[in-house]
Amino acid sequence: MKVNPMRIKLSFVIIILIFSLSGCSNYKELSEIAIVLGIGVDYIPDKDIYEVTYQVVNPSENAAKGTGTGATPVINYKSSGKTLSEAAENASNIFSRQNIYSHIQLVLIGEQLAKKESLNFIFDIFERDAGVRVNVPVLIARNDDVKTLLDILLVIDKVPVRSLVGKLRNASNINGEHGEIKINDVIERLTNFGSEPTISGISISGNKKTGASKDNLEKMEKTFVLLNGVGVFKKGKLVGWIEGNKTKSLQIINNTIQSTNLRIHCDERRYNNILLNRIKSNSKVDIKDNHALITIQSNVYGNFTEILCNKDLGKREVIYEFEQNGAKELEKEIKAGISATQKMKSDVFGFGEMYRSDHPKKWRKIKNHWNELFSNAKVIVKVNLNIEGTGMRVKPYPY
Amino acid sequence: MEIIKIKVRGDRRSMWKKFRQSPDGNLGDSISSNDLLNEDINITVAQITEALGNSSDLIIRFIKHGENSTAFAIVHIDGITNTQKINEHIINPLLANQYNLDYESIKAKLEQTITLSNIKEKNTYKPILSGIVSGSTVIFIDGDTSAFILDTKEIESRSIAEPTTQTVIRGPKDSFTENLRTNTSLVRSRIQSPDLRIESMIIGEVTQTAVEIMYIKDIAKDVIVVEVKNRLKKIKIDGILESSYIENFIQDEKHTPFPTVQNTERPDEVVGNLLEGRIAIFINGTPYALIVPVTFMQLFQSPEDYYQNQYIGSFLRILRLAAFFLALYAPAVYVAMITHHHALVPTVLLVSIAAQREAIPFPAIVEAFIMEVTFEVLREAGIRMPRAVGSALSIVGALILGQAAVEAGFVSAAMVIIVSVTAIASFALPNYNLGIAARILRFLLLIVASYAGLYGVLIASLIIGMHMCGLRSFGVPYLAPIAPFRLNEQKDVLFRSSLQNLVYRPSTAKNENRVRIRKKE
Repeated sequence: MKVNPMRIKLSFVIIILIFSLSGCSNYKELSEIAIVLGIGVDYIPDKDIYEVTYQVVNPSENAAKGTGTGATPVINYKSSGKTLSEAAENASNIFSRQNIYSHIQLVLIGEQLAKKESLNFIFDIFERDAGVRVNVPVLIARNDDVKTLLDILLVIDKVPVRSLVGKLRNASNINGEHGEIKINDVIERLTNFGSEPTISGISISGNKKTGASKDNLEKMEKTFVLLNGVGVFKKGKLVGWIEGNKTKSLQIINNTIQSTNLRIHCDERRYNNILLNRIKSNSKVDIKDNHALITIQSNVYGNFTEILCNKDLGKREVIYEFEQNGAKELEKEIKAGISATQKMKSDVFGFGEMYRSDHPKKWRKIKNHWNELFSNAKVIVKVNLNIEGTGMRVKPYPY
Repeated sequence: MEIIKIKVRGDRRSMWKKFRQSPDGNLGDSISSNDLLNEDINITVAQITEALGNSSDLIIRFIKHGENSTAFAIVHIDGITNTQKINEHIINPLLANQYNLDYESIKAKLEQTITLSNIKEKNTYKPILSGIVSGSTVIFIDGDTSAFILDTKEIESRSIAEPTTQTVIRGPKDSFTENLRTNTSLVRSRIQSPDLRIESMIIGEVTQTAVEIMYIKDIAKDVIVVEVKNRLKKIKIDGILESSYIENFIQDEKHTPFPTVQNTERPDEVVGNLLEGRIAIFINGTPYALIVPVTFMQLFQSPEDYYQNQYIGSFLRILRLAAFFLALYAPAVYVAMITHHHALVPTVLLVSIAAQREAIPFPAIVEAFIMEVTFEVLREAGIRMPRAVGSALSIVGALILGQAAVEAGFVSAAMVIIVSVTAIASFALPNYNLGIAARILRFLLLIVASYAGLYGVLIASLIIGMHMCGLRSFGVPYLAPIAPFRLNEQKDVLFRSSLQNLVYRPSTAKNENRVRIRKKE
């Protein structure tokens, strides 16, 4: 077979064109980049500038086989500007390597930013930039400065943001009080009319100064960062916090809950504990005579995990009684969560969104005063609790 | 430029022409190949001796008959003939019979006198000379212009041993040797059918190497058989030293890293391929037989796939395919990931690789090249070096290159892992030639990856894919039966279906004879 020399020349030209016309190459050696693992954004109202904290990993300190010298596993540094991009640009004055943002694990929002400014346009850069992910969890720094929070060093997860994300994931899997809210969730909630975002808050417990030094790694008396409350937003601004058990209602109504604990009165003083591992809720919104009626129907399945009184669980009636009591407890918890947000006039559950998808025409009429409607809405919660098992033993200790 | 090139080519061609004419000249100046033998035995023998350049291993024995002391001359070359055979079956009967018969009748009855099966009568120099150099014994008769050529060929060859490059756990343990007849006999003994055809030809104008093609008449396609014969006939070369010489001349596309002719040293693999309608080419002097036509997927198949359980057979085939892609892509994808696509690497891994690369002074591509080239050198050295220094090489390779290079900060541990994985994967391929393709293309992909990242790897893969789609092996598309896709042949490509399910032969076999397993009537 004879190959036409013209054909060879032409194919070489095509190959060269393919590679040269493909746009700029983004060749970067690993030793020229700084991997940013976390970003903290705060706002300084006096100067009207954004202050951005970058948590950059120090690779040698995180290597499996120690090439490290005992330096901190991450480097946190601050940079500021009128826009987030300007802050990122200014960062090059401070740091020797080019930041890459594709491995961001967490975005921490400062309380100042959340309260005084708004979140409305903060996430634009995350969506607009091709090199950043939007499925990154978001948290709010509560009571403390963003950098102070990111500075707290921990032992097991050496990188502070990884430890924070781990806590968030753990909490959302085990007790259901905090959901993993990601940038894209926040954007979706902010842009929809009938729903508002919630973002979990974190704060420091312990000494801030030793927490930020290597002392924290060496002493048993450690400073921790813990999840603390869920921030409620309205029109992009932080308006208040829901605390403790009430925050479960958010996960239950949105069906994002994995499992949670429910305690039930056993007798006057003592409690039993049930692990709820399947929770399925159906919510309905009706509007009649300018009054909203929100109905929530939850089917819940669980097992006994702890019995602190002597009741014969072998009997059907006893279990039935617990089911009734448990359902009431859970109803109370859910209602408490809803009423807390009703007071803040912020529909963080997305009931408005539910109504919009069911009745789009009616929604147009009421969408401007939906927050009012929501805050005055009547809430009916029906929980159907099924206790499926008693754990590895049936009867409690017969004391 | 153009003109000069053509000139050079023209020169080469004329050199070839000269060369092609030269073998005839070997017969010496005094006689030409088509001359008849002289009636005088002394002149004939003298001319033979002269034609063979008075070779010291040429043995001439005259046998007396009556008064004529040079009545017969027995000529053969020592070392490639069986002297015992000559003594027993030629010299003995000649000596014994001459007391009973007169000279004329011995000559007439020579064919009855000599107790050998293969006997030919010739009267020109050419066949006689080529008979002598190939190991036959020639009997010249005084006063006669014809001579008898007797097959007494015996060449020292090693015995049949276990295959060295294509070993199996379960399956026959014999392999081909350098002796053509042994090789064909190994196949013949496995296919005891009158349909097995062996056709022979001589290639190599100086070496006169025997080449035989083997096929099963009812199964192999006639078109392909004719094509193979034609291509073999066109080969005009001075010598054939190895099957690859033939391979080079008969392959469809010369400029490709992919093997379009399969070679094997396993008789059972030849049998399997013959049964699927392919053609085997045996070359004297090499333990490798060639098989044509060959498809890409066939190179991933080992004869053992059929000897083991079908599930493990299928699993191993997929594993080999994965190994091929690993051998081809691993370094390229790694380099692309750590220089262009940091976002694609899991964070923890990226941090760990970054930590390793912190102290490396070279860019990733240079590091990859250092390791790949070092490994190729190590591999080449491993083949060529004397056995006795083998342990020295492995110590140097393992300790100094592996460990010390990482500790000294020349290369990162991750790169050592990638190169080792690549190396091991390329050894997992059942066909050595396929590994060579992966080895060559790996470097191409590596360069492209460092320049243009995964985009480049993709473009290069597309080009390779296009090239493969264009390849043919004796008219059979190289990627068949995947491209063009043939549904009914998929049972024995990536997966090895159970033998009961493989009812039909692949489309390399004759269309009218595709049924392999006849259902009970």
